[in-house]
Amino acid sequence: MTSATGSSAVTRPGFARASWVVCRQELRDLWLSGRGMPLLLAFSVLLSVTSYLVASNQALNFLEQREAVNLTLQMAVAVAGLMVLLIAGDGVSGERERETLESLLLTPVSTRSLVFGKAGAALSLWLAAFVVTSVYVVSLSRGVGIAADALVAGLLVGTVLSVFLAGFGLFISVLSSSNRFSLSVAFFALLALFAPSQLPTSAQNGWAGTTLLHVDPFTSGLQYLSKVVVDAHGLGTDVAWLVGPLGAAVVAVIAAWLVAGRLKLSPGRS
Amino acid sequence: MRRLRRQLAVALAIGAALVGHAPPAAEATAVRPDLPAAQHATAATPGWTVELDQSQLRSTLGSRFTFVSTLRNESGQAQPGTIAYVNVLSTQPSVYVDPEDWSSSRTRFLGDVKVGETQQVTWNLQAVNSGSFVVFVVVTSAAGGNDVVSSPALRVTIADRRRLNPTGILPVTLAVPGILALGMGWAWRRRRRLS
Repeated sequence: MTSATGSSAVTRPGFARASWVVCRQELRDLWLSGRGMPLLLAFSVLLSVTSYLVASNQALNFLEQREAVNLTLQMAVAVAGLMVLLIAGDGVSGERERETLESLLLTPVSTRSLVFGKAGAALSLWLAAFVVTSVYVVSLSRGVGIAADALVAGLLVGTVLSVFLAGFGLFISVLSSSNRFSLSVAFFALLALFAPSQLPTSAQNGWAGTTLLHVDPFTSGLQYLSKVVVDAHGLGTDVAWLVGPLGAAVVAVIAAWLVAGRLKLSPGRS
Repeated sequence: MRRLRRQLAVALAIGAALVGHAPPAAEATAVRPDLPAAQHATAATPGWTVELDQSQLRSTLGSRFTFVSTLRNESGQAQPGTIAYVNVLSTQPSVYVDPEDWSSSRTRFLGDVKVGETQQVTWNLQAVNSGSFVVFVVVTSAAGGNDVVSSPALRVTIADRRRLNPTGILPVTLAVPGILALGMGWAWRRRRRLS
């Protein structure tokens, strides 16, 4: 990131204001000269291929329309989460690797404002991805009237998961000295979080399996989407499935807040 | 020696024919010209007869089709725990068929079938492959003998179906990445101009 504030600033602005200043600069970097647009373009190509595939299967009666919408929405939430993690994981360790962290730490904003400003920029990727996703969801759900519920549920689950992944990515990024380490740990954790959703049905039964499904933020978030979109449950019927993602998001944000306070200029550490 | 063997074989064949033990293959391929075509297609054993309401069917990929099998207990005794089962096979070696994809309800438990009783079973299938297929129904019983009786073949021809714009999604799948690519190009040009 380029320097966030002018050198004329003498007093430190408040946390919210400073975070917003950092976020604005990060947004500019991300969307005008960074990876935002290429990532979003790749995301839209992936969604185009997926939605064309599900629409073909739907036209051949191999897939119910609700299942087609659900599949596209789940794919969008999962891949957008991955993009948020990619940007957040690069947040601090990337600056450190590009040797720009020192100049950032010398700006008159708190380190927490720096980290949370970066989190805001990472979350903008999810919001942009959601806008793109909504075009596909509306197109696929024509005729069955599930677009509104699907979009609200998708926005809810995607936002909670993105907040969790942004917090988690920045937590890892602050603690890592290199981008490679930060991103590999973040992706490994993401794969591990996806694993329970791929377990065979037989392994998901019993109290241990059920608990794992509820605790794992990805599995429970995607389950909630399925309940709303495929089973046509109301948005409030299965909110128990959102406890896991919400808990994970709160823990990740607190963890990022705590480690952000420890971020400081360390002589000899590049 | 060879001549002796040939004479022996001919003598054995004549003897078998005289005592009524014709070779099984001859019995299986025998066609009685006095019966109508539908009855020729009926498989019969001492237990049941199984007939299908049609012998040929044409459909398109993804479509659903229905046929009815009629089974009749001709064993002379009640058949407990009668089971009917539908199966699908491809006549082309290159086409893999998973019958579970064609029907999620391939086994029907019909219970006890009394002597002479007839039961009809309606089968709903979805064509998930294109090509030529044979669909048939077999009947057996949970308890009893080892008989498994098959219906005649229902020859199914499934035509492929290709749509370029399924459910009208094609414009969206092209327009969204196109608009984003234009936006990216605009950002790239702006960046170049500023630098």
